[in-house]
Amino acid sequence: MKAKVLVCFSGLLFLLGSLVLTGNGVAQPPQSEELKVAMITVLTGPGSFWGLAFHRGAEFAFSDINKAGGAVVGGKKYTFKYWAEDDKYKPEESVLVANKLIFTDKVKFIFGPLSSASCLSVGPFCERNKVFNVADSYTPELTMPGKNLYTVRTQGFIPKLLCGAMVSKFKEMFPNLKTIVAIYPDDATGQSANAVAKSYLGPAGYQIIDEVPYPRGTKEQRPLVTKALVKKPDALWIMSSPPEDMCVQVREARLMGFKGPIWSTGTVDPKFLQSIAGVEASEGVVTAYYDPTAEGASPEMVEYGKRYLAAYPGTWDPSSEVFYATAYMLKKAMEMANSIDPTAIRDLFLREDIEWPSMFGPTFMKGRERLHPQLFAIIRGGKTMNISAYPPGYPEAKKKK
Amino acid sequence: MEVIAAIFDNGIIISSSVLLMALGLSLIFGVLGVVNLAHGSLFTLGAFISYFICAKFRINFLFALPPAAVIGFFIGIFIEKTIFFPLRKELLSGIIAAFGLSFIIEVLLGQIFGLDIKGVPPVVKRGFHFGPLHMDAQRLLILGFAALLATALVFFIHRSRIGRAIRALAQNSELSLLMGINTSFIRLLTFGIGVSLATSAGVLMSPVRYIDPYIGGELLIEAFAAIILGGLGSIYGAIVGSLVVGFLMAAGLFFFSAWAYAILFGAIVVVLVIRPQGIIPFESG
Repeated sequence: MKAKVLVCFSGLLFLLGSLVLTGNGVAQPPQSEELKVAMITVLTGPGSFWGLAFHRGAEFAFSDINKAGGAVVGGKKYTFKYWAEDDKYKPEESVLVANKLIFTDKVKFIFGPLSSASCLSVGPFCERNKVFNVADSYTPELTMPGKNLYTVRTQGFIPKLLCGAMVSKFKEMFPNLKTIVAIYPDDATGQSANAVAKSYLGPAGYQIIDEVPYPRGTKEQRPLVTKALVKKPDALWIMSSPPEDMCVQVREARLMGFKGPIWSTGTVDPKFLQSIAGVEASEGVVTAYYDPTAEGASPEMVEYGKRYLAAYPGTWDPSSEVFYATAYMLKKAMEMANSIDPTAIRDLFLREDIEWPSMFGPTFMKGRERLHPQLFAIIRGGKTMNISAYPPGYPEAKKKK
Repeated sequence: MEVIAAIFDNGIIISSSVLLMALGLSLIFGVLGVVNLAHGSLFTLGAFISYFICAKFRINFLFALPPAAVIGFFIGIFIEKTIFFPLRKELLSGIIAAFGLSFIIEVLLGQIFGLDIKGVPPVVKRGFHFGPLHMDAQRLLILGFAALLATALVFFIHRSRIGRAIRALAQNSELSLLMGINTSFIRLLTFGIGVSLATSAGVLMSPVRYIDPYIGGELLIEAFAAIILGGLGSIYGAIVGSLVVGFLMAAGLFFFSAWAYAILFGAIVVVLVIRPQGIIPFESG
């Protein structure tokens, strides 16, 4: 008798277990599948300051998305398995890492890499294997028509967008100024940044009366700044100078009595500028930077900045927002496309009518680039303030009047 | 007129910076025959001492000058005693050792202070106009110190007893020994003074440049150019060479910014082909 009861009980248990395991029983947990997203970035050595910032932004976002239940696609839940791989800022390493991610790890969504050469190497590879790639670099070649068709860029601070927005803000603040001298490092980055800035400054009614290209990293900046000031410009534009060069240029210009506006298209932390050039010399200077703890930051940005600085004290880098936003864009695209197919996701990123989530405000994609209101830092009364402007091509209807 | 004034004031300013470096370099080479490639890193050490004292005690960077000069002096004595004296007969080994020392100092500074860029606030932030010339107080201070140190060094070398001993050692070390000069002591003293000049230069230049462990490299190249042009080992040569380098750099950076170094070294090649011993050779300087 006892044996019969035991057999029946075991049978019942087996039946219940089978129901649970096959998903037909009442105890079935919600379906959830893991979707791999990997970033190729710089985690060690030169460039790791930016590389880590990119990674941390994506890590924050995917962790939040997963905690909130992930993405729901076709009634099915997807959580994200996100991780970053180090390419040491070397294009050959980027290709090796991409190869591993695509063929060994079977990843269908790749963020990064960081440098232009790396992006241009990985882009065609992703296209051949139909892997959706959100890259980061400044090169215009990356998103040229017909090239790297599975790659988009969500880095809004590329020279074309940044300079366009900066010039419009400059025009708004200094409509009566006429003459400008451009200072830039005499290399590919400096020359292209200068060409882009000129293409906006000229049509805006400013006359570039002199250009001062210089060898990047020149320690003695005084003769260069003297040359820039001899023609008595109304304003100085410093294009793509490394932060340390730019700080010394600002200091020398102010010591020589220049009181006009100095605008820099380089990402220079105002606090760093003040520490090198001095607080007085830095007054009124504008750089392509934003400070989440300063006036003019959106509430989301303040929240994000606090969180970032609490987790990584003293390491704030504006680039961290790029892949934070991209992670949310990917989730939205999957849910909108109702698919996890990389081609379908890519097609949604190509649409110009979709408003994407961003802490900068209404954000759109245009020509495989992300357009969002640009923020710059201006130093006033010794304090940093964020000011904003719209990049060229930003939908007129969405601009705040 | 403004262009000429700009080149003139920049020329004077760059010359004074180069001279601060070139004096110590020239002294060490002229007397001891040591090509001290670590001179740039010792300059950097001076700049870091300035940064440390300013940041730690929140005082004027000029307070860093005496400790930097003293620290430099004793470091000079130490490295002469432990590295360059044992290698005094091996020129190539001495150069490699100096190169290695330079790396060690840079890595140590990077490890102690970090690799991020630092700055030292200038004492006076205003500029002065002298007709079309424009000078800021900080640069005037450097100019004044460079002139003072060059004059003091010339007097010390030519008028003092120790100076005469240094010159004797530079001309003939064996004969100096026979004449009763304590050559080991003079070698130590010379190296100490030379390095002390490098660290003092680092302090004086700290408010006009940013600071990282590698800032000495560019100025070292310019200082080497100055002493080669002026005449290796000659103090007067270092002064003249620094002026030539300063004005060439000022004009080069002004007219052909990206070509400034090519112009400078092109001029050096021309001068050396015409006058290999330099403008004021050691015997006369």
